[in-house]
Amino acid sequence: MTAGQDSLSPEEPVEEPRPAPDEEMSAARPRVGTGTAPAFGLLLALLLVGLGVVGVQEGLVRSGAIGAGSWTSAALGAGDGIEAANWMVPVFVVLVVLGLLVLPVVVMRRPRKTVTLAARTGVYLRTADLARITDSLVDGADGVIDVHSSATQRQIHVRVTTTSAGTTKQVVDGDIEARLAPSLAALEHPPRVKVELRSEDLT
Amino acid sequence: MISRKILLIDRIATLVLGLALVAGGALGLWWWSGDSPFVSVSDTGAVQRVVDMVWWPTASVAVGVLLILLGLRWAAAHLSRAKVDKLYLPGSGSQGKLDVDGSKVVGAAADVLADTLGVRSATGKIMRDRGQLVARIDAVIEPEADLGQIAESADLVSAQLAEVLGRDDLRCSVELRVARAGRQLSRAF
Repeated sequence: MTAGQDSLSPEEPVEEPRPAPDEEMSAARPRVGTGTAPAFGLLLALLLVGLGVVGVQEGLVRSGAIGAGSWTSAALGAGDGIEAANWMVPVFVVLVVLGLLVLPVVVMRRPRKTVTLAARTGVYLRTADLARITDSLVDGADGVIDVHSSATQRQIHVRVTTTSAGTTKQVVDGDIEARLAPSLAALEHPPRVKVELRSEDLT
Repeated sequence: MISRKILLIDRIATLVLGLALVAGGALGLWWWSGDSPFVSVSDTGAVQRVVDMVWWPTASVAVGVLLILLGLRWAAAHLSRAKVDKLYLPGSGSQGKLDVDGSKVVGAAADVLADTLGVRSATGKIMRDRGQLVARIDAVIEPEADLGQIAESADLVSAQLAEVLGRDDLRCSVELRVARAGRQLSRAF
């Protein structure tokens, strides 16, 4: 190392410390659920495999490659000569009902269960976790014995059990609102807060 | 992570399944009522004749194998992993490649985020999600944590990551989970 390299000459600009990075990555899309369609898809995929196995067994048996009874023949034999009977009615009704229950899955929107925090990059919180935060914030407020909240993207529903003596709705509401305010302010679109009071009458 | 294409296929298959169930049940009821033009006693003779034809075993095996392969391919598509192993850095070209295990880098960023007050732990990885390349950090936070402070911290970590990786197409997603039971936090900030 030479002296020239070691010392900075006055003309050279002194290297400044790197500025704090200010370009955040843009936010990724909030996570969405898949709904129940994949479960049916998986079921049908396995059903397809099963059907394929039946086909292969059928071919091998008929061509004489393996000596066994063909499943298809058994099914054809069993299905021959069936007459309408009363016990079939509930079976057919169940089929229709099952079909009607399955159909809504097709058009259902993918479940969206995250709220976005106010940030320049993507920061997300699940609604169930928002409810958990609410529980923890409201728990221990004046007059509150027990709290159970649930949350969606639009609304937090706080169910509060209060002591019966001397707790008015306004006071508890105001207290809860004040406790939740800082956390709600951190959300991009704060959900509405709905407080439901239940007083525990001990007398 | 299931791709959108597979989700669409699943939905169409579910539609077919639902319609088949409804139609099967309804036709069955119609047949049972006796007002339908169907025969009153089932007869599988026609199918039996097809099954006895010379080409049947070959066709049966061929279609069977095809169905098995298709079914396995379809089922496997539900298990696809979305994690990205290698990330090419700017400067890569035909002369040479510069790549990094992106998930390790995001993991380091997650460690930085985990130092924020109220964040219990954090892990990170790079994955594909709906056509985007996403640096994802999963963080477990305390129920009493200050969300605003965590968001600020996430912004800072995201900016540092962006600077380190230098990939403009990379998106960031910090997913917060709240620990079930709160650990005692210091109240004196």
